[in-house]
Amino acid sequence: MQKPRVHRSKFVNQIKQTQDPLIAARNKKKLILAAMISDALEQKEWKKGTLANRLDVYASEVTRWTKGTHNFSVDILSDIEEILGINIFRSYKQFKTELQAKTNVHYTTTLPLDTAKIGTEVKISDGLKQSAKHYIANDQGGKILPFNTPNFAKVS
Amino acid sequence: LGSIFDKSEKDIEIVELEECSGSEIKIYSVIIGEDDETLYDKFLNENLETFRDEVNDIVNKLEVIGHVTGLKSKWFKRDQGYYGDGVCYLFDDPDKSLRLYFIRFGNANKDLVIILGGGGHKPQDAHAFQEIPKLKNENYLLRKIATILHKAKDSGDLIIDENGMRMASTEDESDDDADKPLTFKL
Repeated sequence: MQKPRVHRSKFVNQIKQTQDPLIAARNKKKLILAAMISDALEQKEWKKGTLANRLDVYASEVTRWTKGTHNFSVDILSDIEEILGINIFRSYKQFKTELQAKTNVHYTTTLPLDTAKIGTEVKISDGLKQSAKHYIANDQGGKILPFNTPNFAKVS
Repeated sequence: LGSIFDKSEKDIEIVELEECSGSEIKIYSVIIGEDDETLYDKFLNENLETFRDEVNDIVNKLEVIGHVTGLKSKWFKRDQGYYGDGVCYLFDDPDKSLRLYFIRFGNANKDLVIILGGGGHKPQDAHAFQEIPKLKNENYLLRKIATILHKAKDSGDLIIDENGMRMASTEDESDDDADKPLTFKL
């Protein structure tokens, strides 16, 4: 079958390397916000004027929001969420889950921790703190290394 | 760009752009003849010194379009070619200094693929793109490519769907044909 080859652009790579990553991320998030508002308006079959009326702003302002360059205030984002019935901000619960996932490392084993052999996986679970005297089996240098996360280890 | 005015027939190859083609919309560009750069590569190379911020904006926008949101109507201008050929242009915000032409294929529900061509700078005091030879050439080249692709699609040779673009399989196709590039005659 004839299908397009995949092409990697050396110029895109060059451009991305010289971009300020914070500005690039910021601009992408503005575009995503604009898309969320556009999609919500479309789903509700609302014209921009409808949202403008509900928020007491000019329709041209709503148009500007959907272009992806607007620097929103938290106040207006909150109002948009409420009026359109969408979630722009993550819930605190979601935030906590993501934060937890970043600090937890998950391993599993059926062996007691201190007898775990190199290469054995060890389960780290919530709610039980243990000190760094516990060790996690791994294969670095053929030696069992201390497990030093702020969390704890429990062998299941 | 001289290629569109050449009498000799050249191959054009459609390639998928690794950086921006994604789950939301497949994004392609075109290689003409023996070149190793796409029309999109040339556009970037021609403008990245003079219009650094504008080029950054377009590169980031295409990544978001391909991977996150799909094409949104506020981000491009339609009806820039022959009637119904899907030639549009993407612009940078907020200044709208650059135009990047593309062909848009879709169905009633959503955009399926876009094929990036070239483009250039549109000065604020210019009324129409025809006043700027570079933009005029890029626009007419993409119109020509759009005509070729529409013809192939209408005849059933070219398939465009949510999985992107590919030629329809033929009965006498062997396994050796599996990785053939997607080419047309310009």
